[in-house]
Amino acid sequence: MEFICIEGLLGFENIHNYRLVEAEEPGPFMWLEAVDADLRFIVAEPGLFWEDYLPEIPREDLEAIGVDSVSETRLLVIVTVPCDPLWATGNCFAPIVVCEESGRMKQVLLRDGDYPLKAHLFPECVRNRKAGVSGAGTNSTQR
Amino acid sequence: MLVLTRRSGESIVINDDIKVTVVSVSTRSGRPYVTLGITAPAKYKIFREEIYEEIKRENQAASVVTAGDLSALSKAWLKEKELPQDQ
Repeated sequence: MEFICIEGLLGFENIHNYRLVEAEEPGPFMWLEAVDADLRFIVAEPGLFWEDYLPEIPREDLEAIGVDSVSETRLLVIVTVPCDPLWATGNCFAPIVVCEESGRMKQVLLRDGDYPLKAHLFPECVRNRKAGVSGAGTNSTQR
Repeated sequence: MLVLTRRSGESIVINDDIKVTVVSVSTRSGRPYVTLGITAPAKYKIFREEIYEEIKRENQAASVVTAGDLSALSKAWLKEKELPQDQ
């Protein structure tokens, strides 16, 4: 399904047309691909990783994608994958709010400090690696 | 730029509906910093200036992904959930 990304993604403001594509493997991940550019992201459903992720989406952002309430939308987070995929993080500070009905999406900035820019997808693995439980993980390029 | 000097506990008011208060002035690791409190209606988006740059950098880092990355993520997720991986 194709979407118009209102204002584009930060850093890619000139690209507005995207499609959400199911991944080949079953699971919580999808591709967010630009229609007219060689650009794509892995996105994930945040509720499957962080149970307490209940962000308040600002009213004007909901209006921008043509909805009255967050119940009409779907939330996705962009995933950053460093050298070691176990250290992958989701951008919970700036999720993508998607409305299938209106065909619009927007990257929304939540309140500064509420949720992290880099939330670990696999915190158990990270904890184990830090404790030196299993092997020598490659530390990611991010903090 | 309008430059005003404030002491700890003092404030400035913008447009009648935004108030910026100097909560404290301190030093951490030998470097001075100021803690600000902002009182404003919820409609105003307020961020540390570097936030936009941080998100741009994060989006750019996230755009460097391969099919192999997604495959590895799926496997890791299945493992965390302890589901069979023989798909």
